[in-house]
Amino acid sequence: MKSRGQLQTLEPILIVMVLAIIASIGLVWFMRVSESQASFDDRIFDTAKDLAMAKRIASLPEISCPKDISAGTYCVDLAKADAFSELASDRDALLLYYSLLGETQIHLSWIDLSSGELHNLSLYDFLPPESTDISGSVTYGSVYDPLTGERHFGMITLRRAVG
Amino acid sequence: MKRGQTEPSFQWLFVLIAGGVLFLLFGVLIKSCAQSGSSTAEGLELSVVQQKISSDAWQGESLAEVMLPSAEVVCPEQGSMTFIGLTQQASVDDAPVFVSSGIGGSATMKSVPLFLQENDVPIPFGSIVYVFDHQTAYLFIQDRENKVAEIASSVLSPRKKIIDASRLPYLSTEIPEGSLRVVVVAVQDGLLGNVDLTGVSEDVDISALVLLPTFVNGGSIRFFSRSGNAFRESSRGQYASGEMALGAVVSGKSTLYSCGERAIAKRARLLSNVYSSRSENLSRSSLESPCVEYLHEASTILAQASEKNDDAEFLNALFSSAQRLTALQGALRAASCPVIA
Repeated sequence: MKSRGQLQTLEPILIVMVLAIIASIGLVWFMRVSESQASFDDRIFDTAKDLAMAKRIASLPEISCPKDISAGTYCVDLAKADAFSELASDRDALLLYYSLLGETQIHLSWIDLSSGELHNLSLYDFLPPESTDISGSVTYGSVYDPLTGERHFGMITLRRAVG
Repeated sequence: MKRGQTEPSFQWLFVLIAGGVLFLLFGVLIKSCAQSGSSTAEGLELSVVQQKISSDAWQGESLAEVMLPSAEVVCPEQGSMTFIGLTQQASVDDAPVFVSSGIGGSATMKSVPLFLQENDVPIPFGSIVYVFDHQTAYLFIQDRENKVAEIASSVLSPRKKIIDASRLPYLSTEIPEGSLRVVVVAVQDGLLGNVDLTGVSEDVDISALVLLPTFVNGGSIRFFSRSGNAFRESSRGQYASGEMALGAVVSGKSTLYSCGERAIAKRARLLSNVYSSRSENLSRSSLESPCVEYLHEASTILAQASEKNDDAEFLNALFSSAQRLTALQGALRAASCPVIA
């Protein structure tokens, strides 16, 4: 059995050891919290980026609704979207819009409520086929048909290469 | 409880508190290091400026104070607009942007929507970014009709001054201290012949321009550069709208101005094609008179402007048709037809 004198000598070593254990546990815990916070921040950043991109697309004069009939933030003019879709498949136009939209694939979908039909239109496609890490989002808005004056429920689907 | 029993438990409490404090200090230290690292990077990367300009150039109505790394802006006649820094470079070729020949330090970045003509039913033609570098001084020469004051009010720079034409022989005394670049702006011809640049240091990059309105939205520009102690005309050009007149002021030099003009023309062509194709498709549909006639006329005007290969000619044709297109836009709305844009 150890005497009281021996225990007193070991006490500073014990204190240092306990301090080191507490610090290591703290460090491990801090790293885990930081990692989960970073991945959470990444997800928030990606979502914010997708939303900003969708807003940017919907407000482009190339496809946005005329000012006097505009309904909300996300309103797409169907006749403009049709013309833009044709134009954006041209290489020069594609390269120009690349500086704004980057490696993205953008689809416009709308539901004709009278017939219940779902329509799709590819607005812009510059997503490399080899992309594996892709972030996707859907933003809802309205699609205005200038021919009939009707507005349909619309969706802007965005797929973006991440990283 | 005896004294011997209480002492060790206090020691353990001390150990726990000390450990906690150590851990907190450690955490705060790591977090503050991470934050300071990211904010420094934001201010010094040309790619950040490039990204900011490129995204703002497509969206109107934004205003930001930014710190820009020191860089020269290069734009040869047929090349692209590129920022060249000490160790990096960034191209903003496709961005409709007007920027002075050198950037660095504090600057104001403003994007404004470009309309064919302002009215109740505007026809949008994208947006333009102006980068007002705070090391560039803008000296506006007063005119009787206060036209220069109108342009000066749009310039967001702390180094702008409106000076009387009688002060032109003493121009060096009017330049704010610490200015690296100076752009002199006049709206009357013949004024720049009176400028004496004797007192202006050779280190100061000084240029001048005269804006002369010749049609409803635009007019002609005469660019001047330094030749000894006077200004000498270096080139002439056209500006198609008030926004582009301001672009000429910000750029100061014809090569840089034509670079911004080219980027605007590129996008305006795409927009013209979208509007023209849309109007033509709608005019062929089941719409009734007068919608069909109005839309067909609009489509023809836009398509004819697009046929001009030269960027300046295309923009002038587009903005010269602004009144008619605006009238058509108004007439279409009044007749409850789909509008041009």
